Amino acid sequence: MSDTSRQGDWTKPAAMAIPKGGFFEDEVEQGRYGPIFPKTPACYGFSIIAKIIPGREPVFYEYAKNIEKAVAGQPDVLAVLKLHYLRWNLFDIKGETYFQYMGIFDTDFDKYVEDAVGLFAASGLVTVFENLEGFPKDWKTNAPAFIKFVRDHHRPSFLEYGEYPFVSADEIKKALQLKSAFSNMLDQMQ
Amino acid sequence: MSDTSRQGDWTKPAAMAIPKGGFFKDEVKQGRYGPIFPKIPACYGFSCIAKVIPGMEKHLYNNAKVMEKAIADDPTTLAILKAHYLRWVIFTIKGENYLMYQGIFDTDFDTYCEDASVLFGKTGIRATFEALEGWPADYATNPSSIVKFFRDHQWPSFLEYSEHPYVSCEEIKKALQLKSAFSNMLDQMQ
Repeated sequence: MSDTSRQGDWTKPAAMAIPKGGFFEDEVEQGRYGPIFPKTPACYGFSIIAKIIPGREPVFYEYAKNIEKAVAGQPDVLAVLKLHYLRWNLFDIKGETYFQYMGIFDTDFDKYVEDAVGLFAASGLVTVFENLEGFPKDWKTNAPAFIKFVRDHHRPSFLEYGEYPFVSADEIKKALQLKSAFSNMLDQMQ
Repeated sequence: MSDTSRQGDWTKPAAMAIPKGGFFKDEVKQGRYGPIFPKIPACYGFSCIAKVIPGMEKHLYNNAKVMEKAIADDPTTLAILKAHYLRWVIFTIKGENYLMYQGIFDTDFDTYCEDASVLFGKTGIRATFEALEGWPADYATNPSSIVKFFRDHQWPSFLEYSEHPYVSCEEIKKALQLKSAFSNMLDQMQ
């Protein structure tokens, strides 16, 4: 994909092929924790895959209820993460259970993880990552260890597609608010 | 999550815990191919995982470029799928490669699979899935075999989150168009 098309035109759905490893060699930017994964038509994102500690599966389902409740109680609880969508799955391969955490968001990968560590530490929310093999026990006070774990377990896409590419969640919400206000105004003119 | 909250209010970010298996027992609707996976704050979606035929990894990377070009040449190529975002990932477990195909879209799971089957001849999507073990040999004449393949390889989420829940792709694009038009109009008034 050319540089120009990577600048973004939300009116045209776009796909981007991504080299193995997740970076475009000719334009790797270094961040604080290593090279920065590029923005794609589906914004920034990750697919973190790790093996769960055997027997911990029920903890993941309980965690889901806690997050649902936390967001229902305070819908902006995750606002700092600049999210579009998050998805958490469990899947089995050859009798072993793996966890996947998939996110689409607007900050870069490392900033997202730093913000998540801060959010979880400050809010008292525990992270379900504690039930993954190899996750650092001192994550609350050691953001670099958390970030290393996440980078080590991130599996970059080799292809991504966005129907309204490169548009941030903030832009989407502002547009929806404008549409809603405009619709209300037209109703009032009847 | 209560029934009411599942009706959708896009102004409030929402998370939903999903029972093991991907269905809410008290409200399972039957579709043509079995129970329909429910709509959640992150719309409809899937995470399909299948083993890559050994030696076909390079083929998948090459095919990503074919797809990128097909969509650049005709941005409406995948319009029928009503997709927000799609992501294709390869990951390795114990020396074996797996493909994960992740989607967030507005039609239900089975409709998505059926619609996808009509695109297979045009875009190179076909070549991607032909690299997977178990891909049905008769897929070209038997759309139901494609739906069955995806259902057999789907790993439902146990938790999903959306910053603007339940909003369709069409609504987002209309809102962005309105915002853009309004912005242009204000510029013209200067």
